[in-house]
Amino acid sequence: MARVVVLGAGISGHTAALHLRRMLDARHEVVVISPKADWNWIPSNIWVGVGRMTGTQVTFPLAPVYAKKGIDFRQAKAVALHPEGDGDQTRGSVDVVYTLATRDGERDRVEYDYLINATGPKLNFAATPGLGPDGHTLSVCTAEHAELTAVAFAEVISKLERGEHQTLVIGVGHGTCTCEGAAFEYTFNVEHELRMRGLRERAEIIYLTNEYELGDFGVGGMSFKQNGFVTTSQLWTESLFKERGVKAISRAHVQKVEEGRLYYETLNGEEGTLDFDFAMLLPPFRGADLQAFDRHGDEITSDVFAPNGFLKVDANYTAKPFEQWRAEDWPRTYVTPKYPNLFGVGIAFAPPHPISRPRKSPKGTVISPAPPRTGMPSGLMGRQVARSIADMIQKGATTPTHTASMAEMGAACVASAGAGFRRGSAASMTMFPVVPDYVKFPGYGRSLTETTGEIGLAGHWIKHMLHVMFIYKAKGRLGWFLVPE
Amino acid sequence: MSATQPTPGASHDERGTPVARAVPDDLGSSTAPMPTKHTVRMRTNLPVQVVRFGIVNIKMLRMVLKSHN
Repeated sequence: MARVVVLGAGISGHTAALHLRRMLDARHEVVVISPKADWNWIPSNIWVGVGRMTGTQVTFPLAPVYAKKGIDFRQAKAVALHPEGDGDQTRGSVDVVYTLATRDGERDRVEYDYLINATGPKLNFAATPGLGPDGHTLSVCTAEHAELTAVAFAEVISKLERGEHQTLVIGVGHGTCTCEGAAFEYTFNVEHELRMRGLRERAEIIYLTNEYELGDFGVGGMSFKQNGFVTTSQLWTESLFKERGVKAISRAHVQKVEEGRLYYETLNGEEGTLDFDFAMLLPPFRGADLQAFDRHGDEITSDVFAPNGFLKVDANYTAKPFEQWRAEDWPRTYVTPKYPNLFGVGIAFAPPHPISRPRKSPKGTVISPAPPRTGMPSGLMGRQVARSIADMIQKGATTPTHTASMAEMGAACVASAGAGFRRGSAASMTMFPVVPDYVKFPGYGRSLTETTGEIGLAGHWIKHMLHVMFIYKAKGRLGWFLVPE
Repeated sequence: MSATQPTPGASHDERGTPVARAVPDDLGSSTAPMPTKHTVRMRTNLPVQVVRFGIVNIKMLRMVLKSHN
C-alpha cells in the first residue's frame, strides 16, 4: 500500500488528486492537504470583480467531492517538509497546521510515499508597502478579494452616475509580477461595464504594467500570421487599447501605495505618482512558506527550494544570460533532483528563468514579468505527474514515465474583454509552445500556424463554456476525466 | 487630471515626490491599426461569431490534443 500526499487543491493539485484516485486502486491512499475549504475557478474571478458573478458561482466546497471520491482531505496548511524522514522514521513526512474551524491551530505530521507540492502562490502583497486589500488597493486573486472589489466597483459606478469623475488604475503592483493576462481582462471588463452603462466618458482607465511592451503577457509576446503578414501581440493589444480609449503605463514598478495615490518607478529610472479613486493591482507571487529538514533535523530549505520559495525540480537552474536560454532548461517530469518521490507542479515549481527578457532600472529594480504557469499548463503538469506516480506505484517504474514541459506543450488562453452573451467579447489565443524554442522555430520561437489570436463574441461564449466545463470536471462528475486539462 | 507621468527634472510635490504634468500614454503615437467600423461590427455579428465559435474551438481542441500527446 502506498500513500500519495498532494499539497494544495488548486488547478494543478486537484487535477493530480482526481487522476491519482482514478488510476490507483483502493489499497492506495490519496491525501489532499489544503488550507482552503473551497475550490476556485480563478479565471472567472474577474467576472466576480465587476459584479457579473458571485463568489459562490466560481467556488464549491472540496470536502463533499473528496468524500465521494475516496480522497482523504485534511483542511490544513503545510509548514515543514521532511523528505528524508525524521530520526528513525525513514518515510518522508510533512508537518501541517489545521485551518479547519474544529481543529484550528492543531499540528499534525502526515507521512507519505510520494508527495506532490502544488501549493500554488503566496500572494506577496507585502512586497509593495500599501498593496492589497489590507492596504489601499484591491485584488481579484481569490473569490473573496474579487467580491470586495465588486463592492468598490459598485461605489465607483454610483459616483459616476452622480456625475463625478473617477480614475481607475488596473494592473500589477510590483515589477516582478506575473498574470498580466488577468489584469488585462479585468481592465477591459471594467471598461465594458462602464461603456454598457453609458458612464465611460466620466471614467479614466489606466493600465499599469511591468511589461516592456503591451501584449507581452509574461511570455515575451507572440507573433501571429494574419492576412498574409506576421503581426505581433504588441500591435494587436495596442490596437485594442486605442479602440477602447484605455491609457497605459508600461515598464513600471510600483514602489508603494498610499490612500488614493501610488508611487512608481520606470525602467529608465524615472519616478512618478498616480492618483486614483479605484485601484486593482495584482501582487507578485512567491512560494508557500515551507521549510525543509533533513533526517537529522538540520534545515535544508535552501537546497530544496529556490530563494523565491518555489520547489526546485528537474530544470536547469544555471544562471545564464537571456541569449543562452534554451527550451531544454525547462523541467519535463517535475521531480526533484535529490528526492525521486517529491514533485512540484503548477505555480509551486521553480522556473529556471523568466520567459520575457529580464530588465532592470538604473537603480537595479527588476521590472519584467515572471513566467506564468497557470491554467492549461498547470492542469497538464498535475495530470502527467499523477500518471508517473501511478506507474511508479503500480508498475514499479523507478523514474517518472510522463512529461509535461512548457517548452513542448501549447496553451489555449481566452482573455475576456467584456461579459455578455450578446455584446461581450474575448481574445481567444493559442500558442505553441508556451516557452519559445528558437532552435525548433527559428525567428519567432513558436509555430506560426499553431499560434493564433482573434477577438470577438465567440471568445466570450468559449470562456463561459470553459467556466461551466471546468467546474463540472473539478466536481468529479460523470465522465469528468474526458474533459481535457 | 489626477495622473502623472515621470518627466526628467520634474518638480516635487508636498510629499517630496517627483511630479510632472504629462499623462499616461494614450497610445496616440502607437502604430497599431484602429479597427474599422465593419471589423468592430463583425466581432459581435451573430452568424459570423457562430462560425468563429466553431473554428476557434477546433483550433483550441487541436492545441489541447497536441499538448496532451
